[in-house]
Amino acid sequence: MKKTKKNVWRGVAATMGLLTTIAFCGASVANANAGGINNFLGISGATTPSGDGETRFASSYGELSDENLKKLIADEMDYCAKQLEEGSVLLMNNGALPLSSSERKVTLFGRASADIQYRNSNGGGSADPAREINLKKAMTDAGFTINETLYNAYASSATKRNKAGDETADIGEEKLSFYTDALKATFADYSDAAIVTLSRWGGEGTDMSRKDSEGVSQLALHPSEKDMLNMIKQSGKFKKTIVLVNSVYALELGDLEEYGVDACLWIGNPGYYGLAGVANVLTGKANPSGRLVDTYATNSLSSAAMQNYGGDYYINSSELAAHENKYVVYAEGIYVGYKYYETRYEDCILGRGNANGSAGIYASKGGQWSYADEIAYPFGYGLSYTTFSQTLDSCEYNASSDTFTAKVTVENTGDVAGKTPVELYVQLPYTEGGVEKSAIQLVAYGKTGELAAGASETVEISFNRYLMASYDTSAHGGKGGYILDEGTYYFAVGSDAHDALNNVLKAKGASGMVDPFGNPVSGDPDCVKTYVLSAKDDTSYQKSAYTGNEVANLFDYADANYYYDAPVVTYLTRSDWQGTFPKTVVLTANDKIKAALETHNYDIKKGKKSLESVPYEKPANLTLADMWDVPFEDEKWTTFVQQLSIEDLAKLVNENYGQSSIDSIKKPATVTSEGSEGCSKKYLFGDKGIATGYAANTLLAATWSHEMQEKYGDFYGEDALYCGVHTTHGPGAGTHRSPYSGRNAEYFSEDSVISYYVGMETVTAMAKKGLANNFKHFFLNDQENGRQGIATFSNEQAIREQYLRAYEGGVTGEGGIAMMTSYNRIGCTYMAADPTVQFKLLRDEWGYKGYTMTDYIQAGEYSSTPDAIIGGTDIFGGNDRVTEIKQLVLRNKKTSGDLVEAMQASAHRIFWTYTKTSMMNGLTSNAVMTDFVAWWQYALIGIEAGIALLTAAAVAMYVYTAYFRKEKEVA
Amino acid sequence: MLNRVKTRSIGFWLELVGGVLAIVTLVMGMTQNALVTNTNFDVPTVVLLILGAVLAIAGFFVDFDFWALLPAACFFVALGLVAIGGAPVIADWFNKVVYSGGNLSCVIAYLSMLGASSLLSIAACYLPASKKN
Repeated sequence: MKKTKKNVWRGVAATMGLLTTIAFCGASVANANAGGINNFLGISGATTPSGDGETRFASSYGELSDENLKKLIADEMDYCAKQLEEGSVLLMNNGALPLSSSERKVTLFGRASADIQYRNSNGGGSADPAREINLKKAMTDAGFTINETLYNAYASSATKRNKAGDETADIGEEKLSFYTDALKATFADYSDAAIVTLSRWGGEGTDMSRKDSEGVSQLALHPSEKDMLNMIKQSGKFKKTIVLVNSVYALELGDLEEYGVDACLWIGNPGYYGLAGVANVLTGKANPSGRLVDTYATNSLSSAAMQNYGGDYYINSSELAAHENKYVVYAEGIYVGYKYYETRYEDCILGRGNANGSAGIYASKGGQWSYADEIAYPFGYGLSYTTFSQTLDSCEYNASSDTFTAKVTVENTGDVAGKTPVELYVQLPYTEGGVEKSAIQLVAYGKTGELAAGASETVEISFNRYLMASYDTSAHGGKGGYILDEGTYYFAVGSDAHDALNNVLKAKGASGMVDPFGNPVSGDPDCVKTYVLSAKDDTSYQKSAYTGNEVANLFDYADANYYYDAPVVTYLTRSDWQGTFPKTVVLTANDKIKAALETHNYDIKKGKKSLESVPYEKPANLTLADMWDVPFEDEKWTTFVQQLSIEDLAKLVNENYGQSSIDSIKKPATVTSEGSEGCSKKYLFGDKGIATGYAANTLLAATWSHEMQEKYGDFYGEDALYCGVHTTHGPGAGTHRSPYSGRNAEYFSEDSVISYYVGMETVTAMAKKGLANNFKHFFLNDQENGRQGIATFSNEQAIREQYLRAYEGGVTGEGGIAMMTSYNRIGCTYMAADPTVQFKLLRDEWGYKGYTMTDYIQAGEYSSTPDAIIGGTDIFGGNDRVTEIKQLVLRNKKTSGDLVEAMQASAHRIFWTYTKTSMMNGLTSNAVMTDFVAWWQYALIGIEAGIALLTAAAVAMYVYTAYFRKEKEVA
Repeated sequence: MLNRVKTRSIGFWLELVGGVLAIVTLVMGMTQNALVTNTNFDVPTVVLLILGAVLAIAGFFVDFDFWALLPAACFFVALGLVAIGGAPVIADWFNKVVYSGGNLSCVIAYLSMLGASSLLSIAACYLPASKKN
């Protein structure tokens, strides 16, 4: 009996041992990801304000209260609708829109009509069910009666989208067999219009697929969609067919007319509350005034950038680790998006550079490259329910401020009221063989107010001349710098980039121009002004306007050619379109590449300073509250950070949707929300619902309205105040280098200048409300494929004019106080460990003072903690490196002084950023610091303790039965 | 020696299989390098896997009643450490977003084999330590 019992207890003890392990490991994983779990569960430990001191960042709605939150939410709901009214883009309209007041019985087609893709990114405020406006509600509220039978059939269908990035990706559209006779029989009663929603879903970690489950590019009009449109057309039931494009990825929309479509409205990802604005556009209550911020090509693969998109493996990739074996080459140079199509178009018109050759033909007929065949809708395009005329009255240069001011008279020449963007472009003087120049580039924009029919307005737009400077790597004897070439500069307004270019061509005396649809046009010289520079200017921007430091080449290592004896990449040049149109670049990782890919370079044992030689943990009685408004350069910061212990410095290294409090300096716990389309937290007031989730950032850019863009940042900041949030992830200013990039919804545009402005407007407004935007994902992170560790190669001119300028407005402005770096490599150097970017560019050239944090990288062999800290990273997003860095310092006391100094410099930047946030609201020197523990964490502690207790009991019983209990005779 | 072979219970043999699985896992982990490299098969994990296997083999030579608990404890903790390291990889799979990289198949294989080691060692604990007992 004893033998049996002791065996049982031994087994029970072992079983409990395994359960204990599971409980402790599970709790360990959960607690390490507490920030993310709380974020997911909508739990927040936020309190606002941080104490009973002064309010440094106030809400525009007065004291934070339940009542004022109601007013804020009401305004935000109006704004969300307005975003769609001003940001949705009318791409085609044969008069079908707006629908007349008698056209209110409609059928919504496309499964997406019952499952709108509200947003694409993983972050941002999710839907508040109490406020959510789906398409059915939006239409019903606007007075429509919809075909509920079909709507309900879609809503209850098992068909789903699949976001996969490969051949299993599925747009989730119903096949023709779905439309039974019973469903078709309902069409006749709701026949005023067929409103068809086409939808695409990508997002974090998932680019659009170039071949999906229907065997076509995910951006193509799919067989299932064509069948649906044909069915609608052939039914003969509907007076009109209207398409809503629910995608931030530029679809191939060139043949919609073939399927009987009368009108097409791009709505991007409208957010949870924006569809009311779409309904207003359909009824004509609102006149759409958005314009495209990306080029819509006939074939989505046709751009120069697409020839090297997605990344390739080195030929000898098997010799490399997982985070080393992939690369992408930006062989298109500066010719991204419309800068490719429009520049090639001009050279076709002017007969230059073999522009009409066969290279790069995807849709052109007749063996020669043809703009009108390759393009469906150009950058900046969009229609209205009225028409406008624009005249560029003047564009004057003011040398003392180094700015141009353009005056543009806009007249509403149609029958209904409306507003329109004013898009101001410039053509720089180009010489064959000289610095590459786009034939047309956006330099500034504005927007009219609501203009009644026949009314006019003069819009004044100012911009810094710096924005039209080109980067010349050979300037100043090879040191490089920004230049303005000698020659004539053509400023032009137009209804889109192509129209502006046609106006320039007219001013230059060219002929043979066509519109995007192939119709002959002459161009309008009244839309053009010139500025003549009599001599090349390479000195105006030789010194940084932000710091006064010299601007020089920084990114030779980002060019693949740097690593090889003979050039391996030929960048696209307009002097030879045929010969240099990019081909897929094939690379073998040579020894130089392999050495550069190594990310574990910092050897702490070779540090020059001992820990004891570095002052730390020196009491000075300074608290974070004392650092309010202390300038970054003030020595008081040194004293402040030298108070911190190694333990406290190590705590700052980690961020998982927040950071813990530090009692020694009375720093409250940091509260961080995900973005980019609003705070992913709950309000601390009112009914404590989820904060407002807005439309995609692409749609924000498409409003072409500084006012709307600034207001977005302001509302985001207001929400943060009401959620007790201090920092947020997003928006970002990556480039829509390709329509396939999964993250395009979080970025603004393919154009760097519109990104420059939108970034500046939004993050500045956020900062004014005490919200630090971790402006993401800096930089050259323009695809999701292979993003962790992919080597990204580009030349310096493209890097500066295209990819850096997109961030520059936000980073160098008042709101540039926090940044999130990217997973990829700049050349072969891991971005987060790249001192050139994080010190020489950001701090020395741009004068950036805030912290940089990594994207949420849970692990990954290439992300070396000490290398990144020494390379300029201040915070690691996601995973816990506190123990690692603490042990590294304390186990190497003889040589860890350098690392500690770098951590102190990080602490300086981190705390300086925090003093610019609402964390300072109410903060006093005697505040009591507590860290939030969620209910589930208490539950886990209980479970762990219970299981551990039972395990101990089982072990005790085993020991007792095996060694102490008297043996009973077995009967 | 033959006598000891004859006196070993099925519990010992189960635990020995668990030890072999632990060694196979260790070899795979050291060669595949495919979980989350900076947390996978670190020194404690390697030590625990080797120790667990050695203790399981040592059961051949010793007759302590409690002995079966020792390799079991090693396997449990090693399993826990690998689970902590592999959690982000599994989370990536659920989220359909790559934050961590790593190889899900390897993670599942490691966890399966160490899970099997753990379960075998639990079964061994329920059985007599040797046929003499």
